[in-house]
Amino acid sequence: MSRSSFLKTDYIILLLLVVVLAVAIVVPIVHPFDLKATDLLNRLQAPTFSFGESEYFLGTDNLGRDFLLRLIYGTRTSLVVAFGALIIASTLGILLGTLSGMYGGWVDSIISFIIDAKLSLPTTIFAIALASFLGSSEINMVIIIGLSGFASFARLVRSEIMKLKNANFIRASRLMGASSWRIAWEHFLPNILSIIIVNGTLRFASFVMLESSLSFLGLGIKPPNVSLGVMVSNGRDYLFQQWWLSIVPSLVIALIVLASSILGDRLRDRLDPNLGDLNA
Amino acid sequence: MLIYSLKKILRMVCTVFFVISVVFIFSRLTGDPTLYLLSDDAPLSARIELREQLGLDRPIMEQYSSYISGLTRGDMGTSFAFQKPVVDLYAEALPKTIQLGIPALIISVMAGVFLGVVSAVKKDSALDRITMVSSVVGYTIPQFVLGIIMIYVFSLKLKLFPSGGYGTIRHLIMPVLVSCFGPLAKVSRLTRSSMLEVINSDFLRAIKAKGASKHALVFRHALRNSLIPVLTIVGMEVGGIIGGSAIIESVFAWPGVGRLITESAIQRDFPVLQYGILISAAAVTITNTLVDLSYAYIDPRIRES
Repeated sequence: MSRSSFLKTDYIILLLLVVVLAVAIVVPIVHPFDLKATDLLNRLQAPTFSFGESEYFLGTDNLGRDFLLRLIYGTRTSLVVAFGALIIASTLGILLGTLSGMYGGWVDSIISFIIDAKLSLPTTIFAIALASFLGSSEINMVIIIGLSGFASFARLVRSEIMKLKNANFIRASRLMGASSWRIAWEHFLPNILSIIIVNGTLRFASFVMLESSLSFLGLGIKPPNVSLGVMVSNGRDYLFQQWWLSIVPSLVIALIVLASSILGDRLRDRLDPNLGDLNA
Repeated sequence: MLIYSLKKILRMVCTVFFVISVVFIFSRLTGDPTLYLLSDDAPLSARIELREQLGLDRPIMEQYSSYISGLTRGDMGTSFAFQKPVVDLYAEALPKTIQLGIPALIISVMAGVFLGVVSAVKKDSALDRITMVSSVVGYTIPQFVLGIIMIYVFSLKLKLFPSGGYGTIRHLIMPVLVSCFGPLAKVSRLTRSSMLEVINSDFLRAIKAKGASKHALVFRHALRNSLIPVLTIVGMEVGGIIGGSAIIESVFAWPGVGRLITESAIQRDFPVLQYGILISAAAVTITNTLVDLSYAYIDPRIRES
């Protein structure tokens, strides 16, 4: 296997990600579907690819619902939640990291202490506790996952700003009388944007994982609403006979996570070769 | 070194105290546990009575101070759902989680360092490629997905291992494999990149020129110098394994701490949840403090700053 064949598989995976995204966005718009409706007479039909009886391509689930459509809706929920969480985590992280990096002193001490305290709990445990306190609607999931993931942004932004703080162009700008707000907005942010985007792409993968894990545990998205984690969890009881009910959504999760990690890695190589391994 | 250690330990205690305080206050401000403990049509009087019985009707600061003074006496409260002392529940669950976590940590560190060293020394060989590709898969597949797939293949199809439960060594194999997969991937990747950096350094070339044997070169010089970043990641993976146990124990019906935390979170059994959080935060901060101290021990420059 040469280096170029590695890149080819990367492109195939990215193409798959684009297809998944497009389907998850477009299908619910052109084909509205009632997630609550059940059809018990047609429950647990086998998908056309294995036995060919069902009128549904991926068969039906334990309540007789079209499995393919549910898979698409579930993917959409998982992606929307992860994306919303990404916005919250990055905004909060950039805000805290900038404050901490620019002002230093006691502001930095307090923010660093909060971040350390947050990181002293494993992310999964932190999210489980928050989900228990807040309860879980789709909006709450966005908040829970966003709060679970802000620390990496804050740390990254803080250390980048500390590096930039004493650069000549920042000093010059300060001498010319630019306000802190202006320096943050016009100088720091554009300079750290590529790092934030790379970290964001990698975080997106872990947010999809966290959402599906919480939903799988019963602490996330609740029926009749559906997400990929809910589907894996529902299909578990049928693993022996109707294995696809659990395995197919599992593979979709793995695909999304794998593809967005690869995208993050590629972006990092492209944007900043000196960035090092953020995953490690 | 003594003052440095004391400072670190003080900070550790402050962090854990801060975490449990925030968790306590947050838990009391959001939602009513009796909604989950009683059925929906329970009369209001029963609800009020239960709240009184559990002490939930008192002001938050009063509940907080009695919680903290209980902690100093080693009294962790009583579970809302099981009506048993929280300490008893954890005394049963903790050894079972340790049975999973310690083998997972040992396997992932030993195998990870080994694979990392071999892939660095034999860079671009087939083994290197396989290790690197599977390490990407290792930290991108969620643990419950891996668990479900393993149950399908090894329990249902091949009938090699039981699909879950606690008991014999055969029950242990799949959960341990699943929980060490992610950390193994990280450790092997990091060891490899750290080794490669050292292998290409000037001092190693000098040792090679001196005529040292390949064995001495790899193990005595390169590996030793590349282990410091690996130490950091091992410290972090302790937290990863604790977090992962919440998921793995639910997949494999393993009656440990992770499952206790998850179940208490679902039932809003706050005393149990709080103690679980206390244990995890303490385990992670203690590990991090030990890692920090060992750095300072290895590298005196860290002590000064």
